[in-house]
Amino acid sequence: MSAILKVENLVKYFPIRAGVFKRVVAWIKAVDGVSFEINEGETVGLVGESGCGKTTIGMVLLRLYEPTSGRIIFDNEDTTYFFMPALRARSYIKRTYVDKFNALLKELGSKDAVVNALEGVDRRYAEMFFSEAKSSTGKFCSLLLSNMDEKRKQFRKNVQIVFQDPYSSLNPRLRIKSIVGEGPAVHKMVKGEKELINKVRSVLEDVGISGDYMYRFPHEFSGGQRQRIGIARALALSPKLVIADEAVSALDVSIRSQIINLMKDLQHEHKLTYLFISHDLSVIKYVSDRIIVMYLGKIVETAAKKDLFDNPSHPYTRALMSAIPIPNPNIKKERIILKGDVPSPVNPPSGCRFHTRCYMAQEICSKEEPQMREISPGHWVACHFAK
Amino acid sequence: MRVETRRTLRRLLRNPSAVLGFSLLIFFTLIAIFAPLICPPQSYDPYMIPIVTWDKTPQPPSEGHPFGIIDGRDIFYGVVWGTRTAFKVGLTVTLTSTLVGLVIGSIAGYFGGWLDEVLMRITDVFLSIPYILAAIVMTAFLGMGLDKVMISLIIFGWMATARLIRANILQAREEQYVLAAKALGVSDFWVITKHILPNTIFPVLIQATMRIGSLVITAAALSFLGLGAPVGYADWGALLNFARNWLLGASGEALRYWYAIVYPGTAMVLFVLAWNLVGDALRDAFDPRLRG
Amino acid sequence: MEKKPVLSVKNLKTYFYTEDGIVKAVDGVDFDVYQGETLGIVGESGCGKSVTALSILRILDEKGRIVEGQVLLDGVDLTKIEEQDMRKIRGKDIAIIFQEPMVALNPVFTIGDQIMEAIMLHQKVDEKTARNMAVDLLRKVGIPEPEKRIDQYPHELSGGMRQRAMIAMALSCKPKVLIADEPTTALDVTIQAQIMELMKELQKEYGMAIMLITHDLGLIAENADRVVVMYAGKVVEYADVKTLFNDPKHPYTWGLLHAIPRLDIEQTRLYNIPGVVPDPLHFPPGCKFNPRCEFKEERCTREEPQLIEVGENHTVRCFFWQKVDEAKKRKVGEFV
Ligand SMILES: Nc1ncnc2c1ncn2[C@@H]1O[C@H](COP(=O)(O)OP(=O)(O)OP(=O)(O)O)[C@@H](O)[C@H]1O
Ligand SMILES: Nc1ncnc2c1ncn2[C@@H]1O[C@H](COP(=O)(O)OP(=O)(O)O)[C@@H](O)[C@H]1O
Ligand code: SF4
Ligand code: SF4
Ligand SMILES: [Mg+2]
Ligand SMILES: [Mg+2]
Repeated sequence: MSAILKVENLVKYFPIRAGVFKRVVAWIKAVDGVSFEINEGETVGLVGESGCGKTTIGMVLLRLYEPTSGRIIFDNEDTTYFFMPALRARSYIKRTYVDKFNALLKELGSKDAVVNALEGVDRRYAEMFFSEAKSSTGKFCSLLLSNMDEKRKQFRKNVQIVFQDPYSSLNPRLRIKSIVGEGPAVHKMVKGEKELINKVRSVLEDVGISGDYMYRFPHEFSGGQRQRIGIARALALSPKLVIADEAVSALDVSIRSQIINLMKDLQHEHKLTYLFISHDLSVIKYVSDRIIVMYLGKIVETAAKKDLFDNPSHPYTRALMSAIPIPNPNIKKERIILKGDVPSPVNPPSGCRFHTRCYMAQEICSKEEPQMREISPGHWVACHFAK
Repeated sequence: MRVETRRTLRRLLRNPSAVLGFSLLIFFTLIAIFAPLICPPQSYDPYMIPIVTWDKTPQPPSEGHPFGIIDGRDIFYGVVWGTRTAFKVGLTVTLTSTLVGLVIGSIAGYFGGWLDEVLMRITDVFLSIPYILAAIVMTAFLGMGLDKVMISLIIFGWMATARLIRANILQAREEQYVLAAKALGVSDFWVITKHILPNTIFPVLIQATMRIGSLVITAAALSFLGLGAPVGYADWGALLNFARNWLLGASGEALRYWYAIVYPGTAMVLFVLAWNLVGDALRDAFDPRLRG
Repeated sequence: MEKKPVLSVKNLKTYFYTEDGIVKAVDGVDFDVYQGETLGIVGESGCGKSVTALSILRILDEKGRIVEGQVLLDGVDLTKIEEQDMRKIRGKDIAIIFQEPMVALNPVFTIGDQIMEAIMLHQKVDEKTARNMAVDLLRKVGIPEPEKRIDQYPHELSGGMRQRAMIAMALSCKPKVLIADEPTTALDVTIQAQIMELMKELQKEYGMAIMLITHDLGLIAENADRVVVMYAGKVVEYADVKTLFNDPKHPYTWGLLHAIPRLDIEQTRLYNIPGVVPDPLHFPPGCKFNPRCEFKEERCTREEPQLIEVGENHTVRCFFWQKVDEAKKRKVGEFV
C-alpha cells in the first residue's frame, strides 16, 4: 500500500481582526502542526470534539483554505503551491526545495549523493533540479509551475468532498442534473447534452436515486436522498480521495445506516480513499481502518482501529471513549468525567494542550509539550506518560 | 417549484395591501402606455406640455382642462405624460445604480481581502455625503436637465445595493454548495453568477423596487429646486415647481389654487405608495424571515 | 407496591392546522412518568417528541391544537384548566430545558436576571434573596465562580455552561417533572457526559421525575428507567429499559437497534431500515410503519394496529410482533 496523501506539519491560523484598521489582534490556532498519511483505498477516521480543527483540515486539504504552513503531497506530487499566487509559489519552492538541495549538496559533496539521500517526492524533485533544471532556481520553478491550470484541474477532479448539511450543501435554485453534472461539464468529461445526461443518470443510479429524478429541485428530496445527491456530485468526477466531513451527522438514525452502507459499497466499487471526519466515535469505529484523534488543533493519538480500541493510550482518547453512551443497559461502564470546557484555540494551554482537563496531568505536562511517540508499530501517542 | 410558486401567489393575493399596490402599478403602467391616446401630443416633443393660454395665473378645472391650468399649461396633460417621466427616471436610475452596486458589491464580497477593503472604503465615502446635497452639487456641475439629474442620482445611488449584496455574498460564500462548487473546480465567475447571485438577488430586487418610488420624490425635489427638467417638461416635480409661486393663494383664500398641488401631488404619492406596497409584498412573499 | 405516576399522558393528539393541510404531529401518545424516575422518549426527527413536550406545557403556536386526550398532573387534567392556572404550573411544577440553550435564553439579559425572574415568578422572595438563591443554584449545577458568572450574558458562556444555566433556571422552583428535550444534542460528548451526570445527581437530590427526549439510544439505555419509542406521531413500543433493549418487540425498535453503529460490539454490516420517514401530510394507510417494515402482511396496509400488552408493562403497536421474536432467535445473543 502506498500513501496517496501525505500531510507534513500542517498549520492553519485564522486572524482575528479588530479596530478601525482591521488590525490582526490575535490568531485562532485552528490546526497547529499536524502530520499524517492516508494510504490508497483505506478509510481514515478523524475524530475530535467541536472546534478541534477537523473541518479546517478538510478545507485545507481541498485547498478551499490556504494552509498557513506545511506541505501537502497528493498522489506523489507536492500540491502545496498549486493554488498560491505565482510569487508566493516561487518563494515556497525556493524555501522548501532549492535551499534544502543546495544545503545538502554542500554537506554531501555530490549531486548523486543528494539524490540518493532523499526519497519520494524530494528525490524526484532533486533529480529534476540537478539534471533538467541544471541547478538553476528560476528554471526549476518554471518547471514546477508549468501547466498550472491543468494541474489544478486534475487536483480538483481527484479530491472531492461530501458535506454535513444535506440542506445547505445543494444549491436550492438548480436542478439535480445541473448539480451533479456541473463537475463533469467543467472538466469536459462529457461531450454534449446527451452524454451529460447519461453520465448524471448513471451516477445517480450508483447512489440509489432514480435517474428520472434529475429534473427535480433539491427541496423535493428528503435529507437522506439529498445526502445521496451530495455523494453523487462528488463521485461524478471519479475522484481518488473523498473527504467526508460529518457526512452522516445530520441524518436520522435509520437513514444514517443507509448512507454509511452506501459509502462503504461505493468505496469497493470505485476504489475510493476516504478521510472520514466525525465527532461520533461509534460511526468512526464502524467505517475506519485507521483513526486519528485530535484535540485543540493537534493530533493526540493515531493507530489502526483495533489497536486504538484495544489499547487507547492517550488520556483524552480514553475519556472520549468512555463518554460515549452505550446502547446496552446491561453494561454499566466506568465513566471518566472530564473537568471544565474545551479551552479556546486562541490561547491554547502551554505544554500539553490537554493538561487543563487531564486526570493524569503532572507538573511536567504544563511545561513541556509531549511529542508523538510510537508505542507499538503504527500506534502513535502524544502524551508524556503513554506506554 | 410549482408548489412554491402557487403558495407564493396565494400569499400575495391574500394580502390586501399587495393587491392595492399591484393594482396601482398596473393603473400607472396603463396610463404611461396609453398617454398618446389620452392626451395626444401637440408638438414634436410630446413631453413638452402644450401652452393653452398666455395668462400665467392658475385656472381651476374646467371643460377640456379637467385638472386646471397653471403657468398657461394643462395640468392634466402634465400629470399623464409625467407618469412616463416618472417611470423613465425611476426605472433607469434604479436599474443602472443597482447594476453598479451589484458589480461593486459582488467583487468586494466574493474576493474579500484588500479589494473588499478598498471598495468598501470608497462606498463609505460616497455614503457620508448627503444624498440630495451631492445630487444638487453634481447637477450644478453637469448642468441642468433631466438626464443630468439621472446621472447624478445614479452616481450617488449605488451604495446601499453594494453593501447589501456584499453582506449577502459574505453569507452565501460560506454556504456549503458554494464550497462544493469551488471544490469541483468551477471558475470564480461561474461560482458568482450561477451559485451566489441567484441566491442573493432577491433582497436586492426588493430593495430596488422600494427605491423606484423614493427616487421619483428625489427627482421631484430637484425639479422643485429648479435643477431638473426644463420649464414646461411633463414632470410631476416641475408641475409642483410652478405651483410653488402660487402656493399661498391670494390673501384670505389660502386654498384657492389647490388643484395646482393636489393633482400632481396625488399622482406622486400614489406612485411612491404603489412601489412600496409592491416591494413589501414581494419581501413577504419571497422570504418571510426578512420581515421586521 | 403499586407506584402512582406524577404525570400521565393518555391518548394525546395534537394537530397543526397548516396552509397545506392537517399535520398530525402527535396522534395517540400514552405514557406515565413516576417520581424519581426517568422516562425516555426516543424516535427520529419529526416523530412528535418535541410536540408532545410542548403539548404537556401547552405552549404550542397558534396553528397547533390539542384535539384529544388528557395530561394528568397529580390527577388534574392540564388540557382542561384555565390558561392562568396553567401559567402557575409552568416552571413551578413542570419545567423544561431545550436543545439549544442559546435560543431559550434571552440574549439581552444576564443569566442572573433570568434565573432570578424565574424564582420571583413563583416564590415570594425579595430581590436579594432571589440573587442569593440564583448563586446557589449556579454553584449547584457546577458553574465555577457563580458570583461572577451570574452577571454575564448568555453569549459569554460556552455551550455547556449555558445548558447548565438553563438547568439552574429549570430547577429554581424544584419542579415535580423536568422535561429535557434533547438537552445535550448540541453539546460535545465529553460535555454531554458532564451534563448527564449532573442531571442524575440533581434527580437523586430533588427526587423529581425526568422526561428525557432524545434520538440517541445510548443516552436512553444509560439514563432511562422506562422508554417510549415513537414513530410518526404514535407510541409504537413502551417498556422498561432492559426489556426494550434485550427483547424489543416492534419491528421499528428492532430495526433501530440494529441500524446504529456501536462501540460495544463488532459489526460487519449495519442493518438498513429501508425507505424514509413518512411525510406527516401523507401518512400511509394502515400501520404507519408498513412501507418500511420487513414483517408486514396484507393486513398492515389496511388496518391500523392498536397498542397491545405483550408482557408486564410492555406494550407494542404491531399485529405481528411474534415475527420479531422469531427473527431474534435467528440472531441470538446480539444484545445480551
Ligand atoms: N473561517 C474561519 N475564520 C476564523 N476562525 C475559524 C474559521 N474556520 C474555523 N475557525 C476556528 O478554527 C477552529 C477549528 O474549527 P473547525 O471548524 O476546523 O472545527 P471542527 O473540528 O470541524 O469542529 P466541529 O465538530 O464543530 O465541526 C475553531 O475554533 C473555529 O472557530
Ligand atoms: N409549529 C409547527 N407548525 C407545523 N408543524 C409543526 C410545528 N412544530 C412541529 N411540527 C411538525 O410536527 C412533527 C413533529 O415535530 P417534532 O415534535 O418537533 O419532532 P421531534 O421528534 O424531532 O422533536 C413534524 O412533522 C413537524 O414538522
Ligand atoms: S501529557 Fe500530561 S496532560 Fe497531556 S495527556 Fe499526557 S498526562 Fe495528560
Ligand atoms: S403492524 Fe405490520 S407493518 Fe406495522 S410494524 Fe407490525 S408487522 Fe410491520
Ligand atoms: Mg466541523
Ligand atoms: Mg425536537
